[in-house]
Amino acid sequence: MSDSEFRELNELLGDLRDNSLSQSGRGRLEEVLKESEEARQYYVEYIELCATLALFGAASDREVRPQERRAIGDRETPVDSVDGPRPVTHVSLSERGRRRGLAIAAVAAIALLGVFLIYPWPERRFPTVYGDGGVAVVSRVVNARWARDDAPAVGRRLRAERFSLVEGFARVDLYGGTHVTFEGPVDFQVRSTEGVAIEHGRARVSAPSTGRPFVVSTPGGTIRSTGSEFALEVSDVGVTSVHVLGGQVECTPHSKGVQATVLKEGEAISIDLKLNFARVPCRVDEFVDSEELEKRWEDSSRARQEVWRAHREQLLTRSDVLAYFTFDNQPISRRARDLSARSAGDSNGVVIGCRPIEGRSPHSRAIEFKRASDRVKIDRPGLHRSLTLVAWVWLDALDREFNSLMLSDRDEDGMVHWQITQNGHVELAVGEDYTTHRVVRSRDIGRWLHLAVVYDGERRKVIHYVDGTAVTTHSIEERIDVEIGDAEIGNWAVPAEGDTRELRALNGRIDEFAAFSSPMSADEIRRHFELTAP
Amino acid sequence: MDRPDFVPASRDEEFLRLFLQHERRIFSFILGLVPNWNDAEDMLQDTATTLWEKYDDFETGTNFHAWALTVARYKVLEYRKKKRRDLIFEDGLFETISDSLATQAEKSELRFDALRQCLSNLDAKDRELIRLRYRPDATTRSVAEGVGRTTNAVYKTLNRVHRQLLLCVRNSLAREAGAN
Repeated sequence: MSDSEFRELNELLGDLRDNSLSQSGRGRLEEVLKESEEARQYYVEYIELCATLALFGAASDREVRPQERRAIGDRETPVDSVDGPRPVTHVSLSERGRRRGLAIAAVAAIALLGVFLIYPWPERRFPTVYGDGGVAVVSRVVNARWARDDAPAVGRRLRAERFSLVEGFARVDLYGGTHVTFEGPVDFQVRSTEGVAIEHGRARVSAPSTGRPFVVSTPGGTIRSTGSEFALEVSDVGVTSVHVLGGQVECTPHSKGVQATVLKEGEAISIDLKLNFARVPCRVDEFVDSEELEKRWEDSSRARQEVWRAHREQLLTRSDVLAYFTFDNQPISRRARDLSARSAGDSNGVVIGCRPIEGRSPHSRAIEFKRASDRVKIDRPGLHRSLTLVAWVWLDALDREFNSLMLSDRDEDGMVHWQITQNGHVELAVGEDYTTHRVVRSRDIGRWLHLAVVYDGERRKVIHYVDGTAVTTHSIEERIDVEIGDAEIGNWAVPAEGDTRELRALNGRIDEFAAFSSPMSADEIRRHFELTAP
Repeated sequence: MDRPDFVPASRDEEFLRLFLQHERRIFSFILGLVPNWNDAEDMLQDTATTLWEKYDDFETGTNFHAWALTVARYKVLEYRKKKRRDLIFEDGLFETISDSLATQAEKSELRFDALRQCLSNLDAKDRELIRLRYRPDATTRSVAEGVGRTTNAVYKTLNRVHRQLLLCVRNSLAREAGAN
């Protein structure tokens, strides 16, 4: 950009800053920004400058200190020095919009904090509106290994963030309608409901023909498309290539002043690190498509099931198994077979209502709880010093104040009640209540959850686990022996006439339920989770 | 009932700390996409409120900044839908600028430090003008009236000083990069 062009841009931005940009000025600004990457960069820096000055003022008539303390209500909170010094603001409840930046946020937050200090803050329920920040959902995962600890499983809602898939495949459905199948090793970023960025690796894209264009940012350039099927690769040496199977795809290399190239079916382009681009042979067939992905998933599911079976067989050899249900075969007999059954007596569960439904894999079955009458009745008399309960649970919703996992019919001390509250706390009640904080969140609805609780009478501890990891530990003050007795899985006993207790019927599925009369260790719980996970 | 071992002392303080830590970046992002001060400030507050309401779903230790930008983006998109005809950026340019703004956030701390230095390097009169201009409710005209100059003169000076600061920050960063 020439000096005079910069001067013009600077003036336009000055007008923008002062809210005095005319209609023609706006048009001119847009033109300039569209044409030039340099102008866009200047714009972004200018905005940041103004935003910073607005929030922090230009106060250097004041000492610049690395840390300042600000009083919040009647507490003092040290402020992080990451963003530098903060002016000490006088906080008063001025009208919205009158004060700038920091003051506004501080007022809003402090007003809320103030309320918190006075009143007990109401429990926030699950959100009932959109806008949880989710922009995409993981729809398929095959043999995936991720670089992070909390590997996204199928059903996981993604916000705009970075991912590193070391191996395997993951298909992400963006809310804007595009499906992207990533093939490890791949480093990518979900940007928005219509956009992703790929830093390194391969992906295959299916973009819908309606709605806003789907955008992929790569080191080589920006790719835009509506209504197409194409594949992308950013190689180890940073070369970006785009291969089109169907529809049209527009590629704009990052080099200055270069027009976009439109690729049609069967065409492909490659952009190297120097931003030179060239036509290349179209290799879209080398990228795994949805059909192929489904097939691989089927195969991998079958293999997983073998792993589950092996682990289960091993567990069933233990002497402390009280019950082990997989709910794989109950339609005809209306009995949930107890795999641990050894004695002559009938230790099977009785299924009432409950529909058979797909379980953790397309080849496994689970049991569905929907109607108020759905339940599985079991009977396990006998007192135990310790108890372990484990289950794979899929929640469709937490409708009730208490949602039953397994509830003993009787209320007396020692009788076991395992349930989830409406706000996502898991509770074990045996006279004393052992309740977690909120561990089931809205993103856990609609996916398979591994829940476990260990009542350790010897060590006097109760530990709750979610997905194989301990979430809370409680001390048992007064130890009592516990009993399951007559109990229901997924529901509660029908109360006597006149009893007005609320329903505790579960809304969801259970695919494996096991009980052991000894305390399982954290390692054993983790192993169970890993070796029976979908 | 036992108090579980893992819950932090106060989620509310945690939220306040996180929000304030990222506020400048979030505001930059919004201002760059909206570019109308009042609307941008309103949107910042809306974003703060929504983040606060949804904070229960936020996993401590995960990327607050990314989440906040997603929420801010939603607000901006809603705003654009309402303003249909008056939009300053058409869709294609909007996307590009949105990407650039998101990337800009990455060197934010270094730039902030450089800006502090650049401000102190300014001529005292220029620095005073900037200070006055960025007080709450100030306008170029009100500042001009306050210092006894014409609005146009103050406007031109402010333009020059902004450019000066921008280039100074750029040069600082280039020097840093060169030195390393």
